[in-house]
Amino acid sequence: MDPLLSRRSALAGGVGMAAGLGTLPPLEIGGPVLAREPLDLDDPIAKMRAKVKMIGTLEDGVTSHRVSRGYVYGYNPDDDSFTRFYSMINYNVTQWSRVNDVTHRYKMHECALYTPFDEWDVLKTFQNPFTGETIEPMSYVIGPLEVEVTPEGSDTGPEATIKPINMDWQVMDGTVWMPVQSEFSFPNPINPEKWPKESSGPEVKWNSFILFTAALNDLENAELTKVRALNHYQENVTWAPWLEMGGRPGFSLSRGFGMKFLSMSEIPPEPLTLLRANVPEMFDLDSWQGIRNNYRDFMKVRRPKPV
Amino acid sequence: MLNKFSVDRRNAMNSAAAFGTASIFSPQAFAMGRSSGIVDSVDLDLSDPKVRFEAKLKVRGSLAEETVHRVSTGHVWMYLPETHSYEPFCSLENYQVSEWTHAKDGTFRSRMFESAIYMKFGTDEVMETWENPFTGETVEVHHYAIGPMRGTYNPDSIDSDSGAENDERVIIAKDMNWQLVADTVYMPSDSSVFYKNPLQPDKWPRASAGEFFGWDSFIMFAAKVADLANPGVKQAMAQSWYQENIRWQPWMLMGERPGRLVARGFGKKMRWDAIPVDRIKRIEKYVPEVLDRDSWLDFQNEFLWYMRTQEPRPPLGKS
Repeated sequence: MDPLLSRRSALAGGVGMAAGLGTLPPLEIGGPVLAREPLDLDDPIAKMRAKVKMIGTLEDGVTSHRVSRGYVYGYNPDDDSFTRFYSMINYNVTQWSRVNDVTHRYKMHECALYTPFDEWDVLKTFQNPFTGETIEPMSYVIGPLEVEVTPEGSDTGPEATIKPINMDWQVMDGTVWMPVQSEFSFPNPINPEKWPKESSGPEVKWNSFILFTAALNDLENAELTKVRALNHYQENVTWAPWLEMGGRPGFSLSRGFGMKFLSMSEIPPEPLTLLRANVPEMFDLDSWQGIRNNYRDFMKVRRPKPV
Repeated sequence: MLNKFSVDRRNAMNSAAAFGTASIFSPQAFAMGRSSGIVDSVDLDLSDPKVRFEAKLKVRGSLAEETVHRVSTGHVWMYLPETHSYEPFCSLENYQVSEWTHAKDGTFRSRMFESAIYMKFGTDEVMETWENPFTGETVEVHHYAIGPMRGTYNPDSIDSDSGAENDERVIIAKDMNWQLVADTVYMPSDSSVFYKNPLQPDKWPRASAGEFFGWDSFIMFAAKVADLANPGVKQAMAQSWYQENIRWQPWMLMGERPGRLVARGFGKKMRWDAIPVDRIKRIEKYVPEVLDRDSWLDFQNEFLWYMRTQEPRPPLGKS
């Protein structure tokens, strides 16, 4: 029996079942455990399998979906303060393939659609609180990015800028937390000589932290190839070019949370509707052309403005 | 499934209009959820102020008269603005405990304490001392214990700021829209405060981070919708995440050097018996006062502790 199916059947019981549901920690899928694969944190293969279950799937040829809600703040070093800027909907799609028992690969596409702070609408213009100027936001679209996951870690390939570093996992009270940090810098494609108003400076600096949280019972359930996982992230990144900060000191602080779903059908309708309407290419990956990122797209559609 | 993504008092009317109903958690919403593939049907109308009140207390504390425990792990970096870089600083073992009681006037009362034990970054080894990389000094680490922070929660005034009542309170959390995703409700809030530093730099040139202290934080709780809907569940064992960007701690003796500590943490509420024994042993050794709360009456935080137990040190190079 499909353990998810049996779980869904139980859920259909409605209010009367609520007491039963209350016994499960957040996110636990539940269902019968026909075989267990213990999560031994000293076993790199066990950790790799749990990691793939959290961020994607052990199945071959299956696509995984993750949606997050982010809140972006601007840091002003002049007065050491953070100011609310805008919010965003992050949509991450990964297409998984199983190479062998200890190697899985995925192809990733990701976008962020900006919205007014804590509101569900598209951010059509943004009045930059630091410059006072009203500017046109530019949502970002990234991909494809090829990643290989093995017991040794995640290899993002030479073209990728993000190099995730696994941190210590935690297991407490039936919950597993998997934190990952990443820090890097690279020469800014939006160089300040050509793009004096749009460039954040000669280097892009990126510091991020992402956390996946899942139920230990689900991860140890050998019947499950994937689990529902909560995620939580923080990113500290030099200014995006569309903010037109003109080399001003400071950075963007993004704080977000979301969920890796069991299937696309679980994506809530509000973000799904906005994403479909505004980033349709994320829903037609077969027609995707070339490699995209926010810097390439920016230089393609925008022109340098005078300071 | 309650698959509506955004729910709060502010947008309830707009959402209700959109669905042509007085409640976003309406049969229409259920139907929408069912079509999404996750089948669930719980009776929870979060546009009802009473339901929202109870949901918030279930997630952050308890509707029952009991002690609530929350355990977290944090990772802390030093942000250095001159190089825009982040240096690993420490890990944290956070423990928050709150005692919930019911007053005769129908209000809920809480008495909350919090502690943190500094650990060497990414290890389970306690950080007893820390070598300041800028001065070469080795300083003694001060594991902090804060409290009691008292709160009163009135079911008849549910959307008022009913948090801590201490004069010393600095964090005033602003609730953001609750988000409903699959079987989980997320409750985020942020806080940005800038206040006069209790340790003024003219008196405490080494321990003070400046005339003003900046404290920016973000905390989020996530709980199962079913727990919030179930009247038999008085306390939802919620997951929690926090992020803090704050100025240097006094014991670091960083003076007014620019920069901040960036803390990122995660944890959950749990019953006392579920807290790992190693953590309890470290609490007993380093912050035992948080386990002896009957004897803890006066408010204490890391600044008050520092001023009470330490002496100002002269600036470096002066004796």
